[in-house]
Amino acid sequence: LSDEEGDADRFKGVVVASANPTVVGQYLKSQLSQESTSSIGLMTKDAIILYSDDETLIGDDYYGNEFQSKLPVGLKEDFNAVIDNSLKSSGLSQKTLSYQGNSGSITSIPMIIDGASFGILYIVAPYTVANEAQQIVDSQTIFTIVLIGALAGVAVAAALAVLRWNKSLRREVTNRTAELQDSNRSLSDALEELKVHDKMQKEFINIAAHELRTPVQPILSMSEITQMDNSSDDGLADEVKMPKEDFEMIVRNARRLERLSSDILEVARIESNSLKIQREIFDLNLKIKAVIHDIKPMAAGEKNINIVFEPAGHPILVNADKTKTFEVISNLIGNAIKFTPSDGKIIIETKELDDEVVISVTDTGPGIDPEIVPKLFTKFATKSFTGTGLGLYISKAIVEAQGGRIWAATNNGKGGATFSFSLRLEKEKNLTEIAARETKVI
Amino acid sequence: LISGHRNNLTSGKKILIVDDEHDIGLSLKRVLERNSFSVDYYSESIEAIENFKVGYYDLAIFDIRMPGIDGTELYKRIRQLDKSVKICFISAYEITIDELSRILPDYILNCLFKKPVHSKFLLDKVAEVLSAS
Repeated sequence: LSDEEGDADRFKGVVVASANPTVVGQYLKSQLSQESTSSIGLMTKDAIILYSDDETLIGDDYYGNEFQSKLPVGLKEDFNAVIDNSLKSSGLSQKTLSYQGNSGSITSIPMIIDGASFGILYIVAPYTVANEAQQIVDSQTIFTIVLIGALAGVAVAAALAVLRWNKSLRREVTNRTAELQDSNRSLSDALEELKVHDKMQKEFINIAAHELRTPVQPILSMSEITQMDNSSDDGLADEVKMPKEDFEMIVRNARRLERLSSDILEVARIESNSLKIQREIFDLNLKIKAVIHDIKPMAAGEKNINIVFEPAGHPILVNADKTKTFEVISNLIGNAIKFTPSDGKIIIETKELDDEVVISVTDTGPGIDPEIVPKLFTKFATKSFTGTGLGLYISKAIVEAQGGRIWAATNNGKGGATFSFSLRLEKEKNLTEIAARETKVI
Repeated sequence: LISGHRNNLTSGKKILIVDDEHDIGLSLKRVLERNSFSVDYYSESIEAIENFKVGYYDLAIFDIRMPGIDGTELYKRIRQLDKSVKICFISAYEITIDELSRILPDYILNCLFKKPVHSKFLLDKVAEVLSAS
């Protein structure tokens, strides 16, 4: 089959048309003269029986044992010679048979459909049936009109249908291939992301395990040493005494462990999307003052750091989570203290920009290591002796959960770093509206 | 915590500890000193290398993950200086002896402490390593 232009290469489909060989065989047999007791058979060019008077042979291989065993011994050789000849050549082949005192003939003729050998037709008759065979061969005209014509009609229709189907299939295949490639790409991207995520998760667990176990060691060792020092054969003394340094080591590490476990729990909440934001309207300036009040002794203490707060002159109202915002501000100021050298200064500012407020904390430390910048807000990106390495990651999650942004910059020239975050402002107008709504509800 | 018999055997043996976590180094030093060992502690590998006394130490305990020169690198450096000092590792990370052997194929002592290490386990293992020929 080929397409309309007859270009076979352009057609990549397969058409299968079928006809019942029994019907064909019986039709052909009906073409034989009524008075003869001839039998008729059809086989493919691969010698598979398509039609035989004995229907149990249909589908068998002509050269197979089944069929061959049914051929009378005296006839077998002649019969096979005729069939062999027909399968190889394209002409009519005939042999006169003499069997048990009777004479007959076997005639076979290749069936040519559309110029190609399709199979062979053979007739066994008790006497010479060359005429009859010829009659059948002549009747191939009828055969062609009735059967091949029908087959061809079906085939052409099928070919045209397939041609159209093939074209749309090709389009469909192209589209689907593109879709598949896209989804393959997204799948492999997703797989890659999963792998990266999995690797990061494993790394997180490994670092978290390290961080959790580390403070346990001094607590354990100091407790065990105290137990040794205060034990006799009677067991542990009623009153346990220990050097101040050992006691301080236990307290210091217990606190570190407490900070770390609460930070790791917070990370677990963030990553399981169960971080809860409880919004309320409050004055951010007051909150910052509260943080400074709490943190000042730490800053003023050993390092004598001066904390300067430059607030906007009026209340800055935000609708945010008070406790968590306090946590973010404490974290940023705590970091600033950590990285600011003795006698340094930390400046905290609040600025209103359109509908948001930007809170920034500037220190006079060494600035941010350029290598750290890209992963600054990730887990365990930076770690100091007193920090957990999770503060900025948690701060970012809190700020973003409230619809704000957080960022950092190294102050070129002036030195130090500035960490800033934004929160949406709660306008006075909205406040009045909220107040009005609340009054109505009451 | 350890028997008098062992105490006599290991008494005064010299141990080097290198761990970037100050409180861990100090607490391990305290436990070992309380049990008659003589301990030097450094929080940085470079410091430990610079102050290393060849042939002086009986045992060294190195933290594995440290900034700068890590424990396995420190092992290689110290091995070049001192062929006979016994070396143990300590880590709070999820590391197995097999993983350690992959990094250090020539390491056969198989002495790896996992933090937090109990004092009794530390002392028993140290005594075992020191008394082995």
